[in-house]
Amino acid sequence: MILTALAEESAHGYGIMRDVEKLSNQRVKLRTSTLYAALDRLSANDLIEIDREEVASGRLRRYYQLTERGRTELAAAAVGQRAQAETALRRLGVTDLGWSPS
Amino acid sequence: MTTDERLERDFRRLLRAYPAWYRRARGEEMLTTLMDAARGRDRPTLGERVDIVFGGLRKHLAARSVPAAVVSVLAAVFVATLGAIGGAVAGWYTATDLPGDAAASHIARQAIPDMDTKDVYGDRSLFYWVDMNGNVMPTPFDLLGNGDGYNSGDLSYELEHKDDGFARFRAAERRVVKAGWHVQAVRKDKRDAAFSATRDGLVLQVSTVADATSTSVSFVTIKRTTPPLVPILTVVGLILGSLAGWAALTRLLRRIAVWPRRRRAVVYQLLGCGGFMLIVPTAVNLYFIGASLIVPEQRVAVWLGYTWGPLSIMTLLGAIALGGALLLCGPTPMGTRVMRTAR
Repeated sequence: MILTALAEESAHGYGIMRDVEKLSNQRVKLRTSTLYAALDRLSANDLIEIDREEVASGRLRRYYQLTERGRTELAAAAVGQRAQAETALRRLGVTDLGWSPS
Repeated sequence: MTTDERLERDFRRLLRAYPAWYRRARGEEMLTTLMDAARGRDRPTLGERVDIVFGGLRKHLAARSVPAAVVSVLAAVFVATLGAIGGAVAGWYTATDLPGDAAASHIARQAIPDMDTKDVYGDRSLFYWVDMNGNVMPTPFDLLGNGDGYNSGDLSYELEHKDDGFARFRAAERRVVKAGWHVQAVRKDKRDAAFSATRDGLVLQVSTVADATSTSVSFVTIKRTTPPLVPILTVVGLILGSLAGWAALTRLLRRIAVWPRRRRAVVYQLLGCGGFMLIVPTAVNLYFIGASLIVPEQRVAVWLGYTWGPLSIMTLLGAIALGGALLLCGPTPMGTRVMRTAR
């Protein structure tokens, strides 16, 4: 979900937290320690990297973005999930969802 | 102080739960995120406090890889064992002093009035070993093949007498109860009888070995009871030791992670050899620690695995290997985490 939050543009810690909350319809609220543990792991796996650092009102904001590898892996995961969802819908006989993916 | 300043001060204090190297890399950034999330409030919530503190503890204990986790577990077990031993020893130092000669003689005569108190056996030392003949042994290294038991200090008297059909023994039990001792564990058969009693941190053991054809002997022994702090400090030492061992090793492995492969390999080999040599002595000690916790009244030398005969040699070699690894790591500044930045 953090990778999805960074898919469109780079974001800082609090921005990622808010976006993850929005993406999950308020179901997932990241704690700060959880967020940074995840950012550590994603950095170590070369899926995200620091885009830039800004200091505003004496506070450091570090913006993260996806690496090429992060983009590839996120895309592969999304395609996999879409295929799985399509299979489920086909087996359920649902053809009209009332919406179309943008 | 403004609301924001107070909030920032509180978050900075909480962030101290994180290791210094992590705070250097992430501290300011995390503070910004925490301040953003807490906008409009003047205090961190309980949830935030718990999250930051536990997050910090997790960072202290986080291993970098599976092999690092295995080595850290071994280190945690080893240092936990040392902690438990330290706790047990510290606990024993709170034990009651054995009474002086006159007071000890008085206690012995309280139990058996005609007890011969001219000769006193035993030793007042807190930790010592005896050989098969009951003689105090100078060092635990002499235990190999000749050791009999560990002792935590005792004074013993004996009286030879004609067989009295355990009359002295029964009278001793009555007298001891009258003198305020709590009698426990009375054991009696045709030829032997024994009981122990406790009072004021001391254990009084009275026994008679009867022999109708020859001389019977009655014994009175005064010992220290196991202080209540012994099991408590043993467990505290075990817990603190395991945390300290794990944290120290993960810190060390993190420090050397940025070293050249060859230099790192030497440290790993020394750590591996040291850990291997210490496995058996540590396992033996853990067994003794478990036994001492299950039956606290039983005097168990919980450090025996590190000090007894061949195990002491393994311990020495293991300690040399570990010491070598630590020396190689040296007091250089800890490696800082290198984070990737956009090209």
